[in-house]
Amino acid sequence: MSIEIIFILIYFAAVIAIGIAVSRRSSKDRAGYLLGGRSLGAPVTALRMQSTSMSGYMFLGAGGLGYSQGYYGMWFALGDLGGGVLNLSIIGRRMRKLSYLLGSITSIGYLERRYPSIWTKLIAGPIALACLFLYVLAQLLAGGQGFSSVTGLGLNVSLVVAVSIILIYTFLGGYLAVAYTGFLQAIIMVIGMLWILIATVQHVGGLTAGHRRVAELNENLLLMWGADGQFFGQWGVILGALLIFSIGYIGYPHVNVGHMSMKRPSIARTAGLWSTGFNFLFIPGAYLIGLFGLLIVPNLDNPELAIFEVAQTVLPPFAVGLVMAAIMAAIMSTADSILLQAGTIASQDLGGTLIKNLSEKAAVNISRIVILVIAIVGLILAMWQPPGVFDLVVFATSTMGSAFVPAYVCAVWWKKANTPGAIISMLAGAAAAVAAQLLGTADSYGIDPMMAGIVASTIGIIVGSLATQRSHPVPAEVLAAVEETMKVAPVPKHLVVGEDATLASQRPGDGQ
Amino acid sequence: MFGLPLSTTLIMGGVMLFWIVYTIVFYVSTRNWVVEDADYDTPAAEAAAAAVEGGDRA
Repeated sequence: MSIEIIFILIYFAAVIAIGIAVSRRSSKDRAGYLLGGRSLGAPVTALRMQSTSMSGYMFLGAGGLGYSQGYYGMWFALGDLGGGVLNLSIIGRRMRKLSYLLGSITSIGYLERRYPSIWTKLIAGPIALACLFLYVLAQLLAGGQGFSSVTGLGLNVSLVVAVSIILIYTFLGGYLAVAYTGFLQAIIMVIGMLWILIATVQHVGGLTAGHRRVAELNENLLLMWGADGQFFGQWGVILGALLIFSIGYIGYPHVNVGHMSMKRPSIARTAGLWSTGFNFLFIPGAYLIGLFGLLIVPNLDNPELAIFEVAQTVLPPFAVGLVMAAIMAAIMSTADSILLQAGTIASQDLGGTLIKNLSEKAAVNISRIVILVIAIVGLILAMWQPPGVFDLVVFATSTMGSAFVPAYVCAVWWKKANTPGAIISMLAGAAAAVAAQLLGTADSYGIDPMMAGIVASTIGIIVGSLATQRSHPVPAEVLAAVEETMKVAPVPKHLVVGEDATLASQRPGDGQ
Repeated sequence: MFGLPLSTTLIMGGVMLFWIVYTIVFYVSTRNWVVEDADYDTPAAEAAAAAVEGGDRA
C-alpha cells in the first residue's frame, strides 16, 4: 500500500472519528442540540462557511481555469476573496437575529417565516434542491477524480468508493459534526494549498521567472482577458465572474444556515476577519498553481486535474499523501454539508408542508432517502457522462445566487419586501439564470447568467412587493421582528417566537 | 511586478486592497454590535432561550 493511500485512510478515519464524537455530544437532548446548534464561535463559523463553499471546486475547477485561461480566472478569485466578509457584513448579524426572533433554523424555513406562505417553501425548496443536487454532483466528481488520481484506480471505481465514504460520513454526522470537521478541514486545506503553492513556485524558479516562462507560451495568459483575449471589453462577463462568488454566497442556503448557528449576532464581526484571512491564504493559490501547471505538466487532457498532477510532480511522496488526504476530506466536507441541507429541505421544508402530521421518524427517513437518492443518481450521472466540475459549479451557484440573493438581503434590509415579491423574485431569478445559461448569453451577448439572474430577481422583488403592498402587506408580527432586527439593541423577549420544533427530527441519532 | 503586466498588477492589487480595507472598516465600524451580546451571554438569557425553545410555536 502506497504512502499516499495510507495518509488518506488515516485522515478519513480521523475525520469520521471526530464526526462521531461531536455527534454523540450534540445528541444528548433536544435543548442541548438546539443550543449547541446556536453555539458556534467566529473561527468555526467562518471556516465552516469557507470550506463548505469552495473545496471541491477550488482543487479542480479553479486549477483547470488557471491552466486553460490564465489570469482571467483571477476575476473569480477576486470576487471570492470578499465573498465571506460581504455575506457576514450584509446579512450575518441580521439573519442570526431575525431567525432567532422568528424561531426558524432551516434556511428555507427562515424564508417561509419571513415571507409567510406555503408557496414560499414550495418554490424555494425545489429550486434549492435542484441546485444543491448539481453542486453535490460536482463534489462527487471531484472526489472520484481525486481518488482516481491518487490511487491509480479507474474513475468509476473511485467514484463508488468516494460516494460510499461520503454517504457513511453524512449519515454519521449532524450539523454540529459537519461544522467542526469543516473547521478542521479548512485549516488542513490552507496548509495543503500553501504547501503545493510554495513547492510549485520553487519548481518554476520563483514567481517572476514563472510568469516570464508562461508569457513565452502565451502572453495573454498573464492578462485578465482570457487565453485568446476573448473577454476583453466583455464587462458583463467580467462582472458576472466577480459577482458569482462574492454576492452569490448570500443566496446559498447551505452557507447561510451558518449565520443562524452563530453563538451571538456579533460573532459575524470576528468571523469576517477569519473569512478574509482564510480566503487570501487559500484562493489565489489554486488559480496560480493551475497557471504554472502549464510549465510543469503541459498538455493535460483534463485541465481540471492540474493541481493533482502538479502536486504529484513537485511534492515528495509523504507530502503528496498528506495533501491529497486533505483535498479529499475537504471535498467530502462540502458534499456532506450539501447532502445534509438537501435532506433537511426535503424532510422539513417540503415533507412537513406536503404531509400533515409528519412524524419525527418519517421525517428522518425522508431525509435519508433523499440523501441516498441524490447520491446514487449523482453517481450514475457521473459514471455515465461526467460533466466538468467547473461548469456544474458555475451553473448551480449562478442559479442559486440569482434566485435567493434578493430574498435573503431584502428579508433583513427592506421592510416592504413581502411574500409575492419574494416569490416573483425567486422564480424570475432562477428562470433568467437558467435561460441565460442555456442560450449562452455570455458568448453571444456578453451577459453573464449571474448578471441576468440577479437583475431579474432584484427587479422582481422590488416591483412585486410594491405592486402588492395593499393586497399582501407584511404581517404585523413579521414587521415588528424585522424592525427589531434592524436595530442594534437587546431583543425584547415578547418578540421571540421560539424554535421550530420540527428541527428535533434532524438531531443525530434521534427518532431512528 | 513579479513579471506581470501593469494592468494585471493594478487590478489584482486594487481589488485585494479593497477587500482588506472593507474587512477592517466592517470590523471597526461594528464595535457597537456587542451591546446585543447581553441577550445571548448571560445564564439568565440562556435559560430564557431554552424555555422559549421548549415552548409553543407561533
